Amino acid sequence: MLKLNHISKTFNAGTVNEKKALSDISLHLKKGEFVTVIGSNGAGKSTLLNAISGSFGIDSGSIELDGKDITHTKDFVRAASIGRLFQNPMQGTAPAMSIEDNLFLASGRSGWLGRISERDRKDFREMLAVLGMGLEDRMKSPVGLLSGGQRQALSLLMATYHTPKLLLLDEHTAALDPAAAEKILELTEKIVSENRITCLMITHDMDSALHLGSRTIMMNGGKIIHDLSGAEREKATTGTLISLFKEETCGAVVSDRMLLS
Amino acid sequence: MTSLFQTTLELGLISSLTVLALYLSYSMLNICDLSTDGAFTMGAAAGAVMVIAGHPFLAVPSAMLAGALSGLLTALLQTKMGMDSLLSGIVVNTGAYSINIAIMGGSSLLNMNGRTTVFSFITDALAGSSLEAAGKLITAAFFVLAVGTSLAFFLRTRLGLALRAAGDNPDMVRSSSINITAITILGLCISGSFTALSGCLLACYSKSANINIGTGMLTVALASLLIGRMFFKKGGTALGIAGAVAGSVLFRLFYTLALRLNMPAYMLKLASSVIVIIAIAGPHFLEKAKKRGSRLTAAALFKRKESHHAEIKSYIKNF
Ligand SMILES: Nc1ncnc2c1ncn2[C@@H]1O[C@H](COP(=O)(O)OP(=O)(O)OP(=O)(O)O)[C@@H](O)[C@H]1O
Ligand SMILES: [Mg+2]
Repeated sequence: MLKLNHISKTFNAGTVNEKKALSDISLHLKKGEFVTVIGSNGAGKSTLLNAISGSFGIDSGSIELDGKDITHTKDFVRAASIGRLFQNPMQGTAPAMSIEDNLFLASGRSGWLGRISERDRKDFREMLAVLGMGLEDRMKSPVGLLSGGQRQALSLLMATYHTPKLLLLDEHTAALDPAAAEKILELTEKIVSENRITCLMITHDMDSALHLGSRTIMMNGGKIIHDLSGAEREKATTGTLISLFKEETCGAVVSDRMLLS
Repeated sequence: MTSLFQTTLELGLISSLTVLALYLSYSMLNICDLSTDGAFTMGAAAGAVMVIAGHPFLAVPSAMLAGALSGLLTALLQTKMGMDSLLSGIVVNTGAYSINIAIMGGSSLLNMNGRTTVFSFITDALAGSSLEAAGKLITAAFFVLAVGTSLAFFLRTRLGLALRAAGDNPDMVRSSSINITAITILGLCISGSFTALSGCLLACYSKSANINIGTGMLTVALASLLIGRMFFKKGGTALGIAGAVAGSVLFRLFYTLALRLNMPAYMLKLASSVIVIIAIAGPHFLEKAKKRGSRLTAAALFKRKESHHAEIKSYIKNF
């Protein structure tokens, strides 16, 4: 479904701030594969997701989605088949607009000049009810009044309204309290598996990295340093991940925090 | 004989079209469009030229087209040419001065005395009926109603929602499949056409267009918008639009009252500036005062906690 062929990205090339954020990354994701991504701060995880969604052009390599080369496709065009969620729950929704307006916007229903119909409202109600947060009774209230967890749940609904070919999650539960984070992860798993969405999820939580999905990749210094799946991943524990990470960064002073934080 | 009140209402309605333009660009898209003055004059100039050429009705779409082009340029500068949104407005506004004189055939004043305008056409059509005196008012109200309802309708469509979202959370729109550049361009074109329509109507109403007709319009309209917002704080876009129109009429009313109280006419611009300052700085200071208030209570709480600790300590000691 997704093929990254030798992609590289250097920020501020030729200046003192030059930073090689992605270095010759190749990654193939099969249709419906759910891959978790871990790595220390600055490893290039977010940059990888931004490159896939087209926030900036890459320096070399190519990106293929569902058989189509999208290396030079504009970000908003890619967004039609790529859903995204960010760490900041404020980022995915428009706060001054109501819940139903946000959903209608994401739904892309009835063309540009269409307006919300009663049928849309009924569908939105049903979708919201699945969240179990009581949002279906507050469809006319502005999204800005919702809690972070509720906003993130709504963002998730919006990002997957039309089953995307690829879902990119960048630490989408990191800013939530543990209970809300749990709930959002549950929802994520449910939506992703029900619709068999191909998904890349960045997380700093080793447990969810190993328990969600079927494959885990570890990044460091703009490279993929480990790619765990199958039996190897079954056996792995948080401890395994940390020792793998230490081994790779050979001898450098590494604390568990670097990986976990 | 039209009353002073009616004139106030007419002028308020005519300038409310500029307020609606700002409602779209400033309140919805979150862009302060500094080319407003130039677009207003451009509408007046284009309209006047058409009226003098004997096309009172073509004057309206011509003016709107001119305003849309001015908005298009402002939008292109900030979305495609890396210019800051304020600067692009200033640049277009400055350039518009020359363009406007060129439109008026090199003159800085056009006179439409004795020409048919939309206002005189309607008034003539109503001649003899009891509505004759209200001809201008009806014309102005018609345009405001038409623009207001189409704007209200537009903002409820998916395109309108995309435009609101672009101002509300540009980050979200940027990571969605909506082309934020196209949305910005569209929004500024529409608001430019409203501003120019407003200018065209004012010129037709006063039967003359001069190069300074739009000077200060941005601040006047902003003041009206903020007055309107005070009365319609909450509520959807329909109320917001009604508030913008009401704000414009109220602003004119205040102004007329001030004139009656012997304020010289040249004070209009200062009054609009002061209103904008109060409307923006007022809430800002209120917010600050509220914060200071909460800081005080936090300090008080802390003190109470400390005295509580001392009490416990002395209790333990005495035990
Ligand atoms: N737009 C940018 N301009 C310049 N440098 C950037 C830019 N985006 C990222 N970088 C740099 O690229 C490197 C990788 O950043 P990235 O955000 O991908 O890390 P990350 O793995 O997501 O880390 P974290 O866990 O902290 O989110 C960092 O050194 C960062 O400073
Ligand atoms: Mg990151």
